[in-house]
Amino acid sequence: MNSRLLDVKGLTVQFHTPDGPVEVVSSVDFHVNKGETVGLVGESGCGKSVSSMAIMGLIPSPPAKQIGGEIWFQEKNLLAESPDYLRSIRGNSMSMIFQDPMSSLDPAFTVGSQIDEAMQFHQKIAANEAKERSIELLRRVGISNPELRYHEYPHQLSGGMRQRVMIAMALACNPQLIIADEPTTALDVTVQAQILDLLNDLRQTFGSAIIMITHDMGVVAETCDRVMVMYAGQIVEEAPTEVLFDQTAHPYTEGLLRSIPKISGKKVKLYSIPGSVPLQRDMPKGCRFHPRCSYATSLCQEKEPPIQELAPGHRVKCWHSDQVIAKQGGV
Amino acid sequence: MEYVEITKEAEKKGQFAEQMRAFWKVFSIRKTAVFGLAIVCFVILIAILAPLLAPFDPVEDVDYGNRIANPSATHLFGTDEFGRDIFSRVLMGAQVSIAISVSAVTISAAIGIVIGLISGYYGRWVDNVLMRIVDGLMSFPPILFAIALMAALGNNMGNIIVALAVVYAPLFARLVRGTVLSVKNKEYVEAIQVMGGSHIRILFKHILPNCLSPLLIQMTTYFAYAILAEASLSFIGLGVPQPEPSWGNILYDGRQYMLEAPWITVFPGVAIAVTVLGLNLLGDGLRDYLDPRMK
Amino acid sequence: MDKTPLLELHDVKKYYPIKQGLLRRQTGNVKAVDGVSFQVYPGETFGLVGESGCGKSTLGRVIVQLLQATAGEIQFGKKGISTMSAKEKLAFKREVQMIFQDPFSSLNPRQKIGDILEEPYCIHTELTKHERREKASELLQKVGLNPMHAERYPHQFSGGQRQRIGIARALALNPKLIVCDEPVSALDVSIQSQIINLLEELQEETGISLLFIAHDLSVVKHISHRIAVMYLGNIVELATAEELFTNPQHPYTRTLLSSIPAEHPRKKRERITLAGEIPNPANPPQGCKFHTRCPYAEEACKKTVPPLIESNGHAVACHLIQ
Repeated sequence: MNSRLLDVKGLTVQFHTPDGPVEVVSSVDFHVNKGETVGLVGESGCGKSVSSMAIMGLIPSPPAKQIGGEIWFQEKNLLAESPDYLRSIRGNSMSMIFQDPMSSLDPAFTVGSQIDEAMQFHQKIAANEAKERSIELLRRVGISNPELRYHEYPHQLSGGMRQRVMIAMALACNPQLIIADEPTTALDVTVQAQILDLLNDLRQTFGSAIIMITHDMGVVAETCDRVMVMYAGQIVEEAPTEVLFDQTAHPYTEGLLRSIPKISGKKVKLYSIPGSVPLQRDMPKGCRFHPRCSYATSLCQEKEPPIQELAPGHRVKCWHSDQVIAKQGGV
Repeated sequence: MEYVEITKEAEKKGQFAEQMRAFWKVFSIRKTAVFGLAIVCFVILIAILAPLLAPFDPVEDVDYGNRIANPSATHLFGTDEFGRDIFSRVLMGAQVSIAISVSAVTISAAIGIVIGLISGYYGRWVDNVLMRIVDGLMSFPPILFAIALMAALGNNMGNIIVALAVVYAPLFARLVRGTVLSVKNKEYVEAIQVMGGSHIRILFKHILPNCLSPLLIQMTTYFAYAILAEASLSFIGLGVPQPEPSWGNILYDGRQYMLEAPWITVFPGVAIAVTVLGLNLLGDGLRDYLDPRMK
Repeated sequence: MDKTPLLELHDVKKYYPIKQGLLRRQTGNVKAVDGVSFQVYPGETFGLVGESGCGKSTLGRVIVQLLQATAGEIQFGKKGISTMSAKEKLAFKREVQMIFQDPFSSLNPRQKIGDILEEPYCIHTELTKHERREKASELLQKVGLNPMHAERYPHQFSGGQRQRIGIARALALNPKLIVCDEPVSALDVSIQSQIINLLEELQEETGISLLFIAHDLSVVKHISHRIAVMYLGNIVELATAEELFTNPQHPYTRTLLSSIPAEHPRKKRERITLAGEIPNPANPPQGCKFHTRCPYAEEACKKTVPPLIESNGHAVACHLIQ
């Protein structure tokens, strides 16, 4: 039996803008196994959110779009399926947790009725049964007094509680895949820690796979089994979390890891990647990272590096990954 | 240093042309907006060139033998009860109607800016007093208010402008105040406050320029309203005094002959409809262009 | 380090009145800042950390005089702000600047970069247009931008570049203190480190003092010499960066530190989880404000407010530590 839950092949997303078409995601391949947490890491504009929206079938149509490639989920290519089919799996076998819990909860309805809605829509169960299950879910995500909270409106809850409610909503139909788009970015540190613990905990009890979209390597270290690093619309490195931290093979990943200030140890000058992310319309030739890369050679300027498999599960898109790894060994 | 030279150069080359090109690039995406702009330009051009284009004098040339005549080669739009050429009257009427609309809206916007800026920026009791006055003025139905003012002031062209300006000023004041409130707490305004910039500097260099876009959009819409309001006032005999033509009072003249001689009312009516449509399309286009999310 | 403080806060408070009912009668206060005292020395970076709603940003705005303190005294260079003449106030506004969090709203979208950078000189100096332009182009170079950028508008820049422009504007008048309100929290990681490095370089070069307000503990630890931790309008702990992170005393500080995500998947920390939520600042708990969530709270904590007591440069406000 195939252990792959989601298989994305050659996903390409284009937007039409006044300045011509812009490719936001360029032939991205990845997969998610059942029950694992995969991190999708990158900076703003790298295409990580757009990729996940494409999986959910939620890319807004104006700006007009063009999506290429295949997204296989439950033996079906989602890109070839009807909007009705997508609606039947969204919130059901696949659900999403957004960054800003305030704007993704409807202020006009009680928290409870919003959780009920998903269950009633997809599973056609009676109202009182839905209510019972919603209250149970609220309890599971660590909300005290769930019977009371069930009748409250989103504005009566704190940011952390709202995010818990969002998680409860995402879990309502026992999804096989949860896409968490920066679920803790808007939260305070102590609340972030609580939510990350909750996600880790729920993953064990519910067995859902999670795609964790984040820019924070700390969140990755806390929660993910495997990580994919995106840069300028491409996946540049993919590895099990520990391998990524121990044997970083792509200069961009290395830069990301080194530019985070360390809590422990002596103060050293922070590493910073020079320059900024290139605009989609004037993408550099060859390797897209070469203008900012300290390892870049003339080869990088001319030819786009292929994706190489360094070890099982550790793939990298760089001509000089051996040097990157060697440098870490030396430090 | 070199940049000082270069910028001087750039200024000479015409920053304006550059900005216009950027404007056109975004604006031209919406075909309806371009269409609206074309209509508005056309109407304005006609209004300006009216004295040259009109084949007859709209007031003096009275063709008694040809009263209430059908549209023909000599009288493209026909004639009215005095035998005046409707085509010439509509052309000259464009001048009058547009002049009234533009002056009324410009004056009311100017009053609105002053009241809105003061009210929004100083807040507290100043804001309370001004906004209660504005609320009071806004509680009258606009057209009734304008009628009442016209009845009190007597009808001549200047008074229509005054009446419409008074009716619209509170709306602009509210709009400007709203924008001021949202702009004045922006961090770039705070940065100037931290630096010790004066109120005058903050108001005129930072707050006012950022209020202009919504104001411009609103003005486009109100040009259309003002044309309609002028027509309504003239239609009930409280507008532009006879025999001076305006779109409204041509309609007023023709209303008795609506069935026998529909051309007297149809042509100015079409002129009003087309102009208002053009202004509204233009307004929508501008709103899209000036919306910061479009950038 | 010079031992005369540049900035001194004595029991500074900022209350917002809560008005309710038809007559808008005042029914209480939101105590955003509730008695804060500390000093910032020349050439020092003083970090202020805490979670949202702890009053750190309000305090920053009180210091730069965007907000008026309700009570307490702020001294800048030995002179109390409340007793300053109009002229001295203008001089103060020249010497204290601010860098804002949101690089998108901190620059006027209708002004060119050059005009934004010339503005401080328009307010405080008599320089000619030409001299101002040269100054602006120097400033751009100083923060790592191309002087040609002066001709562009803010929307043509990325977040990191805009933040550099914000820094350039703050540096224009050679201030002695810059209040940085979450200057890097809106930026991407790789850009964050560029801005932090830039601030550090500028400090080395000019000896400027920074008051660095942030919620990201690792960033604050990296850039600050001394750090104060705030909770519900009060400082609960104040120490040097090294000391605070190696030897945290206050239970809240310990919780904060334990919440920082791991640096490496094998180095996950043992977490202290707090019960409940941050109390409403309009109605904070009696006694120690942290006692409702503190795992070690005792009877005394519910009754009296613990004072901030210093020993060896490490100050803590907790009954259990004294």
